[in-house]
Amino acid sequence: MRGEELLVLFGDIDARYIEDAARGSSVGAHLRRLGAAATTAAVVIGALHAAGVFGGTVAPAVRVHPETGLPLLSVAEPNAPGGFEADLAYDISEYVNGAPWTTETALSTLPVYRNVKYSDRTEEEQQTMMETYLLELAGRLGLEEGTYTVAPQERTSSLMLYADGIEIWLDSMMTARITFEPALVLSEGYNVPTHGANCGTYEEILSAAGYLRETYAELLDMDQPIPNIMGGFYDFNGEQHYDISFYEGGGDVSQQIVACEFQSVTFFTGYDGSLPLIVLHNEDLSQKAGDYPVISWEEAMELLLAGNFITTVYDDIPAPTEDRVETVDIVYRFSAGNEYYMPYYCFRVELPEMEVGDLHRYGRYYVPAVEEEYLVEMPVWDGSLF
Amino acid sequence: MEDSRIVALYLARKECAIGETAGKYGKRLQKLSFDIVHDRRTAEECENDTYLAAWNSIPPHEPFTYLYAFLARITRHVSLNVCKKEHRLKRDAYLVTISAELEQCIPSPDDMECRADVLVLRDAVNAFLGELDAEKRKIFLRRYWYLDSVAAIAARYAMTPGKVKSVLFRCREKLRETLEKEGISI
Repeated sequence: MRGEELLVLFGDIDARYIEDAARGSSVGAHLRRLGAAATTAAVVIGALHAAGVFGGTVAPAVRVHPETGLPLLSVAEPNAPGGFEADLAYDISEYVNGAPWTTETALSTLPVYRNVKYSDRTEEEQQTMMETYLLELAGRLGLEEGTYTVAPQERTSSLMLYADGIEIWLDSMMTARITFEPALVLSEGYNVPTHGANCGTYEEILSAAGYLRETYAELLDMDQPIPNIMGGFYDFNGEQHYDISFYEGGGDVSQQIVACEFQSVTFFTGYDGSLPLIVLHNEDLSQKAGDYPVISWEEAMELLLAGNFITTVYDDIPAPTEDRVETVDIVYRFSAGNEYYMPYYCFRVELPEMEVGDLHRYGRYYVPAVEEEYLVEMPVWDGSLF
Repeated sequence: MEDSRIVALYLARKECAIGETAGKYGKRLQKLSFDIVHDRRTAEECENDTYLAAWNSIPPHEPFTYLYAFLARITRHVSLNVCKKEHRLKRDAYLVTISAELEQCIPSPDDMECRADVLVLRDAVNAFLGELDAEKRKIFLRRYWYLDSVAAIAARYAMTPGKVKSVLFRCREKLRETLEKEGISI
């Protein structure tokens, strides 16, 4: 074999590594760019370990806030594997979102979590945790022991559970995908498609959500499951789509936001209104970095207009202007590549340059929600982030 | 549109899956291809071939959580195949350079047919990558998977080109040692 053959063969490596390398630069690179700044008083080596922030695990050299000792946060890389993030609608008023945060919500802090991928957890501990959760899910689905098998999925860190007509795929981010083959048939009146030419109306979908909440109460395992009907956008065929999710409604608004972002359960219905897939997010939030002061959405808007944002919108699109900003939500950007899961204000900005027929396109722009003094650096859009 | 929904469109054999894919990832895939084939029109063709291949391979594949990597792998493969067909792998100075660098990882390069089981080799390479620290792994992949120039990698990771070359050299050495240790002869 020669080098060029190895070059070709090399293409088939693990997808995780491909996606990791597709992201932008690393935290280390950010720190190198900051250069001399890294020698300021804000540099505290091992301080987090001493403070026990990570539950006694040994933390690497980390920059922390000089007063509160909270780790400074590096803004998530905007590019792959997310791809170009935009939504289509005839009018932005079609967008619905049942998340707990609205522009009327008063918030002073929001929690930030460290990605457990960066912890000292051993592979065995991770495996045990995943197995425990998978068996718990089997119980919540009413599967009796002996009626299913559990096996690691080849070449990944995922686990699979196989039962008659049901498969559960649990990945290392603790996201479980329950597939039903054949898809489950829902009761008449509640078998509402959430996508496609026959997509239900918002009211019909909300009604179906009520049915799902009762029928799958045990699987949801929530004290106060709140339905979140989100979407109303269209695909390129002009067909509308929604998501039906639930999150725990107990606790204060900050806890609800976290539950909505990290621990939701989403039901995907087929084009005939059947139920082929349920996705449960159960991100491991055991390593809370702390409660960080957050800015208001109005302050975030000022930052957006000043160019302090990250986006995957193409770089030949002009920077946002106030008249083009249509919606704002609070979201956590999290993926395997982020060291910290931190909140952002997500602005949808109309992109008249990219309309599809009568459908308007709304690009997503993210502004860090935590105060600037808690960031390693404030992102500055230079037209080349994509 | 979220990746899960795009994959669901493929599974439901809805042709708009391709439009959604192109809208979300087209520009990135085209750039990935262009960096290999160095020709705009060919890159566009490779991008289109990627969508066709995705259409034909979902199902049985269901890349709900790694759609970008799934597509990028196809694009890279298609683009390198174009080079191979046009004998550019041996003529393109840049690809020749990268191939020659990779050849240093081969314990005993020769012109014989591949002796190692491709799957064994792939697993060994994955294991090697898994042992690298995250930044070195990314640098290695930027060079040998995305085929970036040393200068581009240096800019991306705020390093000097010399440092990047040094990291790549050590990684190649480590890969060669890994393959030797695993008894893989290729």
